[in-house]
Parts: sequence; C-alpha cells; structure tokens
Amino acid sequence: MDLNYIDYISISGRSWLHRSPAGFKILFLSAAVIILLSATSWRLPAIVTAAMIAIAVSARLPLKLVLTLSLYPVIFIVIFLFSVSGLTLSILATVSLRIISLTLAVVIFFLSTSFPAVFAVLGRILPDFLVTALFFTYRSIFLLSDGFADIYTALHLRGGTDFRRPVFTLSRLGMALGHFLAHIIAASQRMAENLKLRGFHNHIYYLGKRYE
Amino acid sequence: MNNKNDKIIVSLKCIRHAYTGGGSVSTGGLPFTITRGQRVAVLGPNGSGKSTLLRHILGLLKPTEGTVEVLGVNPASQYMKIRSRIGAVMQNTDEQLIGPTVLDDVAFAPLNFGRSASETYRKAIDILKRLNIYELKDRLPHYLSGGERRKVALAGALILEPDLLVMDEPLEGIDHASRREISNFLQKLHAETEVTMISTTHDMDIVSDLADCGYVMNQSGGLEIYGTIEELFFNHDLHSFNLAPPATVRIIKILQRHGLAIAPTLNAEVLSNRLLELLHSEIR
Repeated sequence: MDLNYIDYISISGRSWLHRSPAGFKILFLSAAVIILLSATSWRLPAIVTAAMIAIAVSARLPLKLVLTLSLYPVIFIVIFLFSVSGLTLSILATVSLRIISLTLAVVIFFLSTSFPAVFAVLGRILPDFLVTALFFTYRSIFLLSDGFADIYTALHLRGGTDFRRPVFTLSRLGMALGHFLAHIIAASQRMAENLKLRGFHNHIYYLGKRYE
Repeated sequence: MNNKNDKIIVSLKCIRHAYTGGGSVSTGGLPFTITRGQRVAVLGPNGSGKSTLLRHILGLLKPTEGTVEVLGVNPASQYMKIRSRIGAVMQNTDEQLIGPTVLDDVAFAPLNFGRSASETYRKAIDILKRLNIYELKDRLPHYLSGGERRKVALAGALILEPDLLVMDEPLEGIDHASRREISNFLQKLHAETEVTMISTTHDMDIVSDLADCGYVMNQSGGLEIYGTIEELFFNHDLHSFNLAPPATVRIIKILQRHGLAIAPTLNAEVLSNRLLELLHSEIR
C-alpha cells in the first residue's frame, strides 16, 4: 500500500468530492457506517457499493486503486467462510458486501480528504492528546518512510541487495534496519528539540481558511 | 572587539559538553560575546562544534563546565523565559516543520506562545509573501523540496519577530537565486529591526551577506580568531582551518603578492571597478 500516493491524491485532487467540506464527508461516512452495520439483507450493501463506485468515478479517483484497497478485507471474508457452519449464499453476500462497501466508503474518504482537513474536524471533537498523537503518527510515517527509502536506496546502490543470495541480503537488510533504528532515534530527538524550541504544549493548531 | 557598553545578548565562557555515550566538546579560547544588533558568523571545519555551540545558545545542551547566558538568563534552565524572543533555523529542517500545512507551521510557535490567531495569520501571510513562498501556504511540509523547507523554517523563525535569530547553515541546499533573495531579505530585516543574528556556514562566498563579523573555530572546538569578515579573510590564513576564502579575496591576495596595491574588498563588483580604474590609469 503506497501511503505517499494515497496522501498525494487526497491533497492534489480538485474534484467536487475533494472540495466538499471534511465535516460533511465525516457525517456522510458515519451515516454510511451506521446504515451498513444495521443492514440485514445483501440488497442495501449492494446499493451502497454501487453508489460508492459511482461516487469514486465521478470524483475521478483512480478506480483500480480504490477497488484494490477495498478488496484488502477479502482475507477476513475467507477466514469467516471457513469458520462458520451452515453458511447460505445470502449470508455470505450480505457479510461480504457489508465489509467491502464499508471499506470502499473509508477508502474514498481518505482518497478525497487531506489529512489536515480531517485533523481540523477531529480537533474540534476529540481531546487534544488524541488529535496530537494521531497527527504525529501521520507526520512520522512520512518522515520515516523517506528515511527508510534513502537507506534502502543506499543499500541497493552499494550492492547490499542480491536476491540470488537471500542470506546475504537478509543480513544486509538487518544492518539497514539497525541503521534505520538509529536514524529514528536521532530524528525523534531532533523533533523533540524543535518542539521545545517552538513552544509546543500538546496542541496542534490548524488555521485553515478561517481568516481568509 | 565588542563594545562592552552595548547590551550583551549572548555570552559563552569556556564551555565544555560531555556526551553520555563518551566524548566531549569544548568551546575554549576566546570568549564568545554577542551584543545587540550584531550579525555574527561562526566558521570552522566539519566537526569543530559549530552546531554544538548553537545548541548551547538555544538551551538544548547543558554545559558540563563554563557558563552560557542568553538574553540575561541561562538558556538550559530558563529557556521558557526567553523562548518567544528567539527564532531558530536548525540544520535539519525535516524535523523542524511540524504544522499540518506550511501556513500552520509558520503560525505554530506564535500560537503556542499565546498570540492571537487572527494576528498570527496576518503575520504568517506577510512573512510568506516577503520570502516569496506565499504559493506554498496550503502545501504539506513533507511534499516540499529541501530549499522550500528551509525557507518555511526561516519564515517560522521570523514570524516571532525575535530579538535573536540563530541559524545553522541557513542557506544550505538553496539555489543561487533564492540564496541571493534570502540574504537580501535578511540584510533588509537587520537594517529595519536590528535583530541580532548568529549563523554558521561552510560557504565562504555568502558569509559577508550573513554577517559583519565572525568567529573561527579550530578542529578541537576552540574559538581561535575573531574579527570583521574582511579582517578574517585578509589578515588570517584560513586554509589552516580548512576554510577557503571567497574568489575575490583570493584574487586580491594574488594581485597583492605581485605588487599591485589594491584595497581589500569582498564585493566582486567593487573589485572589478578597482581593477578597471587601475587598467585605465595604466593605459593613460
């Protein structure tokens, strides 16, 4: 799953869905979740799935990515298949469509809503510490993925990856991981210093468009 | 050296910092004293402790020996008292940018210090425009280029309208045009506000744009030479510190060795004018 690409689509998109207020989309998503969880037949989830696909197409979201991401929970459906006895086609269709349409709704939401916008809404309803933790998790993912990409590139360029020699490659990947760990520690120390210098006190502000 | 009657902003005396993992960095030699309105560069080879010196000033390190005083307090123990008066641009700007968007990041520190959101917004927009990065305001920090990140970090430091601006390699990774733009901006800012500036740099071509005087550190962290930037380049051999003076200085020194009486300058335009005058007088 390429988080950078998902993040990029959510920020760079200019469709009606991207422009819709994040608060409205969160309400819509919550309503979809409630409806889907209370659905007792396969028909309603099927209608929601079709509606979600139509929304994705009209918002010019990359359909292949949307569908691929939505199919991730299929693994859980397979486990479910093996664990339930007396399964009918109707129950299987209801459960599968409920899960897939729920995932579709979440995927479409994250592909059309930038994290700062999500965070601005969450900041109004969730406690500070939770929003701050969520924000730093998000920010750290990008800092760390960049750091790991650099280390992996260096490893690759310097002959540290040779998949015909798996033991050798694994040992070099282990070294890279150790180096990455040191990088994480140093980066987190620098971030903590910057937070101190910039007067951080467990609150992330989002100005948005309020003062324009 | 410094005029002792001026208000001292930063004062460091014989500091030594011991790292927990072993090893220590000492900043001995000359006393490091910066007075209000000075623009000072800290020069030295790699690993001489320039960044460590700045981290002491910012209160991020507590010296094992010696004293550090910034804006009248010990920054390691009383940083809260002075933090809203200090703007800092760190060497690695990746971890310095914290806000969700560029605008939020620039506004981050003033809002933390309790300044009003509307006033902060106005100032953030103003500083982004002055640094020519207004179009980045809604961008996410992790999608910025290295140079853009550095400019945003600088905007985040300047929005505080600080009494002291501390910059670790502020123009590193920035293209030539942007460098010129930022150094002109910093010069204008200094002329307008008399903000005290301390910066480190490897790039000898831009030192005179960033500072009026400087300290040269030796490999073991000692502050060995102090003087105006012209004095540093023309009266001392900086090669022994792994520092190469700018091209104008090298040209003047070569010409002087060949007996040409040419007055020292760091400005390439001034140097070419002086050379043209000499040429014309020879022709006549």
